[in-house]
Amino acid sequence: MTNEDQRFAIDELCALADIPRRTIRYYVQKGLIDRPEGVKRGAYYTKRHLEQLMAIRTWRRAGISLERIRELSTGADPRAPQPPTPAPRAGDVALHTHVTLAPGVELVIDPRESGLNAEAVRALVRRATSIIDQPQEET
Amino acid sequence: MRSTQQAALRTVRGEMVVLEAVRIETEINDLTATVSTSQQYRNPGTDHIEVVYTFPMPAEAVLLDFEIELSERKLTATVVPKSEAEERYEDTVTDGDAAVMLEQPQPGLYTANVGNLAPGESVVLGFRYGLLLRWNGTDVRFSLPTTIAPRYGDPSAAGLLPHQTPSATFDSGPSLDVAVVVRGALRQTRWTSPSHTIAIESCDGRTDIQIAHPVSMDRDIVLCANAPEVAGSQAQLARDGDGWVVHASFRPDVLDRNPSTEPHNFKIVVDCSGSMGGDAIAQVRIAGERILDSLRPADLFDIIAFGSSHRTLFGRTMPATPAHVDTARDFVRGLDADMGGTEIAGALRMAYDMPCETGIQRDLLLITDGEVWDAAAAIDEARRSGHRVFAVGVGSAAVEPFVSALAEATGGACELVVPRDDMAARIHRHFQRILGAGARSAAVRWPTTPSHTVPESLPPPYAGDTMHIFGWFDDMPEGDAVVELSLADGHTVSQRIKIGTAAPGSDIAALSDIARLGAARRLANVREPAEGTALATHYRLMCEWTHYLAVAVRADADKGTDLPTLVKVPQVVAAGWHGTGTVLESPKRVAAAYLGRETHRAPAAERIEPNDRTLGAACSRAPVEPRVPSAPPATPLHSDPEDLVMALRTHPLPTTPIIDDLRALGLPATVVLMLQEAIDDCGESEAILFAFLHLLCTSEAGRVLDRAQRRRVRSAHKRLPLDAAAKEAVRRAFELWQSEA
Repeated sequence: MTNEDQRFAIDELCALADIPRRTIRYYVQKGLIDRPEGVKRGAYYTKRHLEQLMAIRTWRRAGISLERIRELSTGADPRAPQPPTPAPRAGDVALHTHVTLAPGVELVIDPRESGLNAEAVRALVRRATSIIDQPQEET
Repeated sequence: MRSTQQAALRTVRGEMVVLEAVRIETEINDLTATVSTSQQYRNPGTDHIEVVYTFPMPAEAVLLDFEIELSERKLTATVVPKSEAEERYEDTVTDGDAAVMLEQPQPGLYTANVGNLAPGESVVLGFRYGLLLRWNGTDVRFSLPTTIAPRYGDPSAAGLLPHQTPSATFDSGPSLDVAVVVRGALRQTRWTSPSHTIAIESCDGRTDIQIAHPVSMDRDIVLCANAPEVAGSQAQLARDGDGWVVHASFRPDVLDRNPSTEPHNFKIVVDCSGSMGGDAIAQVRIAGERILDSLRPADLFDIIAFGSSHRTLFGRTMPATPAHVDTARDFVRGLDADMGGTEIAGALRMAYDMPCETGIQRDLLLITDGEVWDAAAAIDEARRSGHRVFAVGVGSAAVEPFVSALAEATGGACELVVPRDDMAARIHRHFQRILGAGARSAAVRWPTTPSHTVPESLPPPYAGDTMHIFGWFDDMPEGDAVVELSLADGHTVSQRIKIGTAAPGSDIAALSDIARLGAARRLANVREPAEGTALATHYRLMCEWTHYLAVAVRADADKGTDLPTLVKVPQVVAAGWHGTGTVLESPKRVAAAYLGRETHRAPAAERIEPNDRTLGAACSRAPVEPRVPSAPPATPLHSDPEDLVMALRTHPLPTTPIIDDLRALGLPATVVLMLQEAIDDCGESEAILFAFLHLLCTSEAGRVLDRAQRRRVRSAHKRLPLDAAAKEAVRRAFELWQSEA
């Protein structure tokens, strides 16, 4: 058996990565790491899983959220280091449409990011306005 | 598969809704509240799921029972050492069987895990917990959190695992049903709620409090009893196996009430982070002003505002001269929730290190929503700081465990104030504690020597606050518990509490709730894992070393997969959090009302009213008009009698006025405080206010008030008599006001 084929039971993987068993299962459920090979008590993990766990730990230590890590790791190569989304910088220009729905209530649309066409925006505004116009339910 | 799953109800973010209903039934008997909560979940999808829900309980709540009904089957959950519970839960889920595990990642925070809930299957989790209430002067407050507001910082730094970390949603959440029954000494007292509309009905030796529908899980449920006539101390006896336990709740009210004249250093620390936007920052401004009103000229003070960073007003504590207080008032009025994150530890450290007069008591007043994850370090530092922390928790869902632990660690005290609470009264209570001469030390004399007690030694108590004391005995103790207080002036005062008899039917085998409530307090002081685990499993208690666990093996055909789909139940965003809507009345309407432009009350749909009388006169024993929560910008800050009369002409007082109504019309804070003290002394709020208004009506200024209002005041004053001392206090307040004018 080569190093690449090495198999780890869940407890061994927990010890190697120093991550609780529940958290590893959570990462699998959230799609952050691959599912184990085999099923139920016969399930086992490989070096690939260990590397994925190590990558997550590195990202977490850098302060990146699990949500963002999932976005990164669903890219072409999950292990390739990728930069997080750049924060807006001075000089960045973004155009947003502000639609007043009622006094004090505004709808903000980024046309490029949302991908909504003019008809869709009109429909959205119509629906949102009709919700506000409805007599408010008792809260 | 997709088409069938679309039938399931989904949140705005597309997550499946699995928590369908929550019911909370509470019984309050004297100072013991027993809360039974049931959470009903259903898997509406087509795959096996694992449900995870992190939810709050009061910090001091002790979980007494945990019952599970999976479909029609009742499961028994047991308290199991943590690592064993986690191992068995994981194995059970991996095998495709059902498992339910309850974890307690932090004090006041619980995570329920339901592994492998089959498609269409339902489960009801039932929790029963006990909570010891406390007196706060002549009030008792019962507060239940329903949601966890988003917190600043990294939950993993606070020890939370990823699955335990709560997320938030703007959805309205599951339906919530709340019922409260009051028995015992607090049954016949006046109950009010600053958070919800309530209806009250008394019959057959019990008082039922109903909370009007719909109830959202977006704010704490707060009920207050005002009971000046009820004795503040009592002791009850119960079995603990073959031994006995006594629970004594003790409220010192014999202390010297003359305030100390010694000056204090006051470091006022205010949270201006983004999460405070809206209601909470409005509360901060009110609290800040009330604190400034309470300073005496000899006191020294400074204000520290914090968010991601912090800034101070003076940079050191300065004498509370009128000029300095005026500068501070401008500073407080300019505060906004615009300072970013909640770096509370750094701000507190800065406050502790701030230069101040030596040899003078150092007190720190902290106003915050407490919405941070990493609280442990801040609590540790506070304990070593040499300051007493008096905390004011604000917002609709303040983090009670953090603010109360911070105060307790320093020998201070904590007041939780929801947006519609009477802030002035709560700040006033803090100053009573801070300036009261108080007791230097306290000790209990039991009828026989106990094998152990909790707490082992009593901290110096504040007048009007409750201390809960537990003593364990091998043989049944008979007689009185005597609490001895050494006062600052060298005198000793003792207070005798008769130990009641044990409830009938208490047998040796059963562990009484009282014994378990006491054991939970013992457990809180244990640091050794082995000792803690043994104590927790014996008394069936949750702690940092134990979980509750139940497993149900399924028939082969019903087994799930080894990896059920995870469904995390999100928290409903706390009302008014980060400025998302408001619980307070619209500032515009308050201003309009003051200016006399609004002559009718807003329709019910527009607001939630505490004790709405539309629920029926029979239900609402003590209706209270909605409070004017904060002074609108147009309000004069220091009305003289003429100003107040002019304001009353355009804005008549509600039928049952409260002191906030007069404050909102500009009655100066010193006069408000004097009236508040008179109310505290006699408990007759309405009578005091009408006596004061009667003096105003009969004064020179009052002549221009219209006849109908004068008649109303005169008849109410006649109907509500006062004793000579109270009359004198009102007269003094009125004369002071006239002389200031």
